[in-house]
Amino acid sequence: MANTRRDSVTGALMMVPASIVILLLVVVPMVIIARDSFAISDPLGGNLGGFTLDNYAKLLDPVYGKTIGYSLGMAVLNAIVCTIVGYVVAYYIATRPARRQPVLLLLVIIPFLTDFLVRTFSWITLLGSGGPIIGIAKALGIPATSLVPSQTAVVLSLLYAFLPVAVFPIYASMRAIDPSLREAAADLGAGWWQTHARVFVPLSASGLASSVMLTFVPTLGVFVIPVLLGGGKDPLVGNLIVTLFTEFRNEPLGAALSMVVLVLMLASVALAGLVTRLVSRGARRSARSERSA
Amino acid sequence: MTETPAPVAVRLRGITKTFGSNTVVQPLDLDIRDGEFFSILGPSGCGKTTLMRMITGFETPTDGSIELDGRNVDKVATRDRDLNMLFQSYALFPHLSVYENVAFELRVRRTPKAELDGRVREALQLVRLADFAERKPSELSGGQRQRVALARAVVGRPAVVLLDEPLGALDQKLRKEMQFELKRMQREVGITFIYVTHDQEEALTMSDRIAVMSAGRVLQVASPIDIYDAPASRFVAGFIGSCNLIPARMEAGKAICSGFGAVPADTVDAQARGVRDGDEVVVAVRPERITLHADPALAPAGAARGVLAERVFLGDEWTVHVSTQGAVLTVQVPSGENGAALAALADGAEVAVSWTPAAGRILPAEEAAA
Repeated sequence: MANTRRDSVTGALMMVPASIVILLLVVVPMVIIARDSFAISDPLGGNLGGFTLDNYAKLLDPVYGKTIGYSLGMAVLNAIVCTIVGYVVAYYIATRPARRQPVLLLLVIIPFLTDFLVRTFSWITLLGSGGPIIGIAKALGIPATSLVPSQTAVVLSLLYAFLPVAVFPIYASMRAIDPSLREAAADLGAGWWQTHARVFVPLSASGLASSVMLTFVPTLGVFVIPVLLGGGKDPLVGNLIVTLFTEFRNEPLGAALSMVVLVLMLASVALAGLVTRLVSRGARRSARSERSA
Repeated sequence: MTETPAPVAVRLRGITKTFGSNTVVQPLDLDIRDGEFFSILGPSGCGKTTLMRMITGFETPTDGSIELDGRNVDKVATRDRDLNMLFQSYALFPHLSVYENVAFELRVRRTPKAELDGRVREALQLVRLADFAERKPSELSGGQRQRVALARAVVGRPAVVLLDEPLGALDQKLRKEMQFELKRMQREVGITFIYVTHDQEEALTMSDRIAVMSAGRVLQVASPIDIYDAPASRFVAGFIGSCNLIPARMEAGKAICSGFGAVPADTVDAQARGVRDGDEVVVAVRPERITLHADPALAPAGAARGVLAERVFLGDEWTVHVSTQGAVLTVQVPSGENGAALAALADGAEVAVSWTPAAGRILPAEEAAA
């Protein structure tokens, strides 16, 4: 009895540092932003406090809706592309000899060790008018100028930026799969497609789900890539928030937009979770009814 | 293709496997008959698993050819070979129910639904797991998982099922039960089983024929009784069961050992197998074929004298080490009258041992290189 109480006290004490970190770095900023989103702004960039719903009302302007919609679309696209490419890369790495895997993983991480801005600028060089890709296209007789700025450049560099985030969770769940399952599937007549569709994709489902979440959510906050590679023509929500804070000097409006994005993120994550659950339950039920029929 | 009298399920010709400079399977020929329970028995590292993986198509032979049911499959991928494998780790799909695991192959091969259900139920019935169809593999015991793996391997009615040490992960008692079960199921489905094991008891109890392998070579292919009673080499004699190997030299048609004089042995058979005078040989005698005489005075002529070195009581029998001049012999003495006489003796007592000439098998002292 005394023992369990002491254990629970020890447990609570051990939670304290983590709780402080979360409180200071997550809860407090969140509360401040939530509070600011209801504050009254003055035209000179001041935050007058008080309470108003004006900020949220302003967000109903179609300009904001359009950007939010475009951002969600881009985030979904990027999450899907990253997860598919991440799956291919993770499967490749996980099926190499065990001693070669750390090296391959390191290659995936190395770009992460360089500055985000530098990496983005490197894409300008790569895809720009004097870059190798245009050079090759010209040599092949394909008329091409510069790929920057373009949406293609944005999509490519988003994929590049978030690929490691997709590879790692998928690789982790892939590694937990008994390698003899691949042989078992082949032995039971499954080809390449069936082996993946029936064995590897379902068994790495948790990694794939994490990959979708880890790429979808931060894509909404990206603001450097659309400016540098997209020419700022199609801003993402992240750009808009930065603009509202820095150029419009309207903190409360920026805070309100941040809150909207936050709610949309949570809603998307919840929706994705719900859909996955319904799909897997449906699949199970249909398999069962198929059997009893 | 020429007609063969006995249908052959798997025919190996000159099959070889080398990894780098290491030859794991020496060139070998092997015919496995249709419908038989065939074991490949050998110590770990003898090449038996590699041999099996070449039959399944997971490994490509360095040389030689493989025929399945009279069809050359050298260029046929695993998934198109009419065989299934039972993996040592079972390799059940953890996200699928027992039913779906068994149904996997039929679904992949697009079997009509009406037929699929019947066949899956039938396979589950065969392994007595009909009530476990909806369970996940993680909710089953080791023995049950193994049965699911077996049901999954036979549901597509392949010509051959290969089993890779399937009982290795089970406890002793379950293992014994499964030996009978496997044999029963194999008879029921009539599929050729190729059973890879290092456990000689498993091979002896279940097989129609056994191939004994060592260092990449097949040393002998024979029925369990012949493998046990008429081993072809010193390795086979020592690997299967326990066996006394008495070093001797052939002189005037007899096996002469310095301590024994003429060792009782089947010399007629040995000559038929080409053992000649002057050859260095060993005489192989099974412990249970040796009679222990507690009173050496009553022993028959030709019995060897020795000293009682060690004895262990095993319940139904005693295992006794008798130190003779030529060798230390292991003798099995059944409990009962003889056992009681043995128990009364003191350690180091003078005893005598004897066996009939038919019990002594003369084998070359050196393994012949194939």
